[in-house]
Order: sequence, then C-alpha cells, then structure tokens
Amino acid sequence: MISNFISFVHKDQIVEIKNLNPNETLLNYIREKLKKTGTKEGCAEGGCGACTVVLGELKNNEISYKAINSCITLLPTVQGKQLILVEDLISKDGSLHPVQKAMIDYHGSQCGFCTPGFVMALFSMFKQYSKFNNGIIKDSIAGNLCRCTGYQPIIKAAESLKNKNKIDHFSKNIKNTIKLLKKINNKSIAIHKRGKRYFAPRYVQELKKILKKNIDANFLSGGTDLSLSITKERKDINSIIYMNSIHELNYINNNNKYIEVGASTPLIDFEYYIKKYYPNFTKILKRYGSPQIRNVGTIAGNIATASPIGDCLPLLLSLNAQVVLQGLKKNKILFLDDFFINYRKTKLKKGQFIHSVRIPLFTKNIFKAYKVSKRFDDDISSVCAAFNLEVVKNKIEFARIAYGGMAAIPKRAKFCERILLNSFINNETIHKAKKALEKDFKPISDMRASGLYRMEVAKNLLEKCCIEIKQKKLIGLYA
Amino acid sequence: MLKEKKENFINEKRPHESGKKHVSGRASYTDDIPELPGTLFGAIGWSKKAHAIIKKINLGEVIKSEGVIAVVTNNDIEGRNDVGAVYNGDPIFPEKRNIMDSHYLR
Repeated sequence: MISNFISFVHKDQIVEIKNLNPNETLLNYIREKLKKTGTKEGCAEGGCGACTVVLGELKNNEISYKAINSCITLLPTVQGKQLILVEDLISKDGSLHPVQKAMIDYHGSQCGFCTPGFVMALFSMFKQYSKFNNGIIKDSIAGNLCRCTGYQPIIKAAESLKNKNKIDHFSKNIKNTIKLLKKINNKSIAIHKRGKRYFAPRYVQELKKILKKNIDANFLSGGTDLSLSITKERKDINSIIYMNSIHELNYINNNNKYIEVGASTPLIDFEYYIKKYYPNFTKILKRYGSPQIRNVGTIAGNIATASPIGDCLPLLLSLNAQVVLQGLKKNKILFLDDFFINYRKTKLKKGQFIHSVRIPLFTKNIFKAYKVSKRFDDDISSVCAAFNLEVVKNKIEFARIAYGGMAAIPKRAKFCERILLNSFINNETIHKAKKALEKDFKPISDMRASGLYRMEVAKNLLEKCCIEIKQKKLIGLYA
Repeated sequence: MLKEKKENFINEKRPHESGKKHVSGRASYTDDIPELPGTLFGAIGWSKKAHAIIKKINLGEVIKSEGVIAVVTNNDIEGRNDVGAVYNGDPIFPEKRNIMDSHYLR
C-alpha cells in the first residue's frame, strides 16, 4: 500500500499527518506543531543531544526504544514508529518515571536545558538493556552535552537505575502499542508537496521503480549528514528517497569469506556483530558518533557521503571491502578502493544505489584501528588510521593500511605498505615506513588540525601499531 | 525545636527547586515562549574585517529591503553604548573602530 500521509503512534494514539513538508524536521514539528517545548534545540546538527527523543520500533513482536536526535530527523521518517517525548514519561497519575526521579534524586540537573535530552537518552538505555555497566552508561550519554554538572551526578543517577524495577507505564501498555504499530507500519510513503517529493519504499523493487522516475533524488538513511543542508545551510532538498524503510536491506550475512551488510542496517547493529571478528572496528564505531547517531546511521550512508573523515571508510579500505551497487538494470560490485574519486565524489552513478557492503574476513591478520580527535567521544577525526597486517615471526607478509583525515578522500597508504611488506618489524622498518607516509599524503590544515600535526599523528599511529604488535600489548591512555 | 529544624536543614539533600520541571520538560526557557503574532525579529550585521576603521556604513539597501522595520546603529543609543558591568570596555556597537573580528556593525 502506498500512502501520501504518514502515521505514527504518540501517547497511545495513531497520529496521521497529511500535507506535510518533507523537509520539516521532527524537532520543528514537536516544538511548533505539537507545541511541546520540553525537547530543546541546541546545536541543530546532532551533536549536543538536547533534542533527544525516543522512537519505538517494532522488531520481532517487541519494541526497541531508540534515542535519536530530532533536530536532524526528517518528520516523514517517523512513519510507522512510536514517538516518545520527555513530556510523555510522566504517568497519567502524575508520577515521575524512574529515570526522571533518579535525575532529581542525584542532582542531575542544574540549569536544566540539557536535562530533557539526558532523560531521554537514559530512558532509552533503561528500556534497551536489562543490565547496564558503566561502559553502557557512558556510551548512552556520550551524545549529550552538559555544561553545568560535570556529568558525575548524571552518571550516578544512571547507576542508581541498575536496581530499579523495570516496569513502567510503557511496558504496562506494550500490547496495545504493538497493536497500534502493526496497524500502521505496513505502508510505503510517497509525498508530493509544492514541488518537493519524498518516497519511503519498503522493497527494493519499489525503490527501483521510484528511482527510475526520480533519477536526481537524494538518498536518505540516517540523515546525519544530509539533514544538515536543511538545518545549517538552509537549503531545500527537493527529492528524497528514504532507504531505512527497506527492511530487505536491513541484514548482516556471513559466508565465512566475507560479511555482507545491507544498506539500511544501522551502525548500532553492525558494531555489535563485528566485535567478534574485528574488535577494533567496534571500538572505533563507539567513537564514530553517539548512540543517537549510530541508531540511525548506516555504513552505506557513510560510504555514499564519502567524507574524508567518515570513520568507517579507512577501516573498510584496509579490509578491502567491496560495495555492491544496484542499477535499474545492471548490478555492479566495486572495490571500495576504486569507489572514491575526489572530495565527496564517488563512482555511484545516477540510477544506482548502494545495496550492500562486503567486508572480507582476514582470519590470520591483525586488524588495528585508531582515531585521534579533539574530544574522545562524538567528535570528528583529526586522523583515523586502520592497519590490516599479517605478521609471521615478526615479518610482515601482508599490509593494507588506510587513513582518514589525511587527503580529500579516505585513502590507502600504498608507499608505506610497500615498505612494510616482507620487512621485519624493527626500528629501521618503522622509520622508513613513517617516512613513506610523506609520499602518500599531503594533509591540509583546517580548524581541526594542521597539516603538520596530521602527518605527525599519522606517523606516530603507525609506530604505535608496530610497537603494539611487537610487544603484544596495547599502549596508551585509552588502551 | 530549634535543634530539630537545624538538623533538617543542614546535611540534608534538597532536590533542585526546578528539578521536577527540568526532568519533565515543563521548565520554560526563552525559546519556549510562544511567539505572538507580529513578533519582530532582529538580525545582526557583522563586520567583515577585524580591527578595521569604520569610515562609513551604507545601510540604504538594508532599510529598503522587504520587511525591514528599523535598522539600529550606535547613533540610536541614547545612553551608554557599553555593557561592561563595572568599567566600560564592552561596546555594543562599534563607533570608529571595530575591536574584534565580527563585531556588530548595525
């Protein structure tokens, strides 16, 4: 069924929005149309978490509660989901939710502006995890900024929730919510409004039909990059195809040679899966962005955006990943190595879309990845480096190295690889390989880092990697 | 009587007086106040050069622009053109020289 209006569940009711502007953000809708001002606008770019709301999504007859940044979420993408705002946490009898109570009891608010966002981030954690350790607590609030409390009271509030009864008015009412969600989540969306078009297909076949007629459409996944052209550049996006509504593309397969990740698979699911194979991939993804970002962002989106500081990209390059492209007629598989042409330019042609990504399994190799940024969590890389090495008796028998933040595109360090190949890991090799990086890269200076600094960091990360392999231990503050 | 009161007050955790409002999204901030119909909006004109001497400001086109009700410069300030709490030193509008990058011009 194709519908020209969206439906979602809010406060135990189905809400329908007709004639919506596909460029409207969820935050604007909440504040200006619903007139619920508890959800705040801070940065308007998905960085501060003040606008955090929770979306309930039906998954295997259960609801998963995902924190998202409403400021960069386009309103039509809430189709088929349950919207939960900070105002909705209080029960009908006026009693506070355990998360809200904990935030008061442990003095988690001072000026209070960021508080609704923290409450919602913690609410999502409270609902998603049956048990949570300090790692989960810190990750859950990594996407929320607070300038008053110094975070300790908020962390203590979260810790106090460990022993709290999990029953709240959402769990008491879950059967009804699931019933409502099932009523509305079986439709595709096609909206035409004053020259603006928005499509949310549910199947690949449907996507192809839409693409044929809308060859210039922008693909939208998490929108963590695309939405900024609306919120920051004040531009209009006239034609949008939403990819994350295609459940067919939300999968992770493994044939023991490679892992295939569908284009609409959220990063948060992938980071959980890949941990077993490449623990460093998960480590980088935790710092790729906050849960609010990873809940919606995808690997395919990261690849299509082709930003030189997209943190998945150097990792995927060093793992020799392939991109599976589908066109209207033909399908094509490209090595990621050949995919990036220039700054934010890729080989993706009009009429093509990214279907999936294949990540080879190097079972004999050591895979290490590092990210250096000004802030530890939720920040853009100054330099990101990935090393895929096979080392036999201290001799490097295979080397694939790639860097982010060092060139206009995420790029391999081929000169450096050549030095390392068939060499023994010793000071001389390290020295030569570091020198070779100067041939591979001429990094630019910008507000994040100077070119000289980037080069120095790139060299030092290489040295760190070699030393860690040789000494068989991790080095550093965050090791 | 007095002793009991003291004990209740000191060493006792008091919740933030606005805590309940904060955690439930009911605390109202400037941006949360509903806009009245006809609300005017201010926009700031920034200088493009740091520490430059201002010879003249031509605002003719700005005033003519659609929807512009008024343009305010230092000439419109009748009192003190400064927000320094104790001493002067934080001018609102520059007079002869803008003292920092992107100082307000209008």
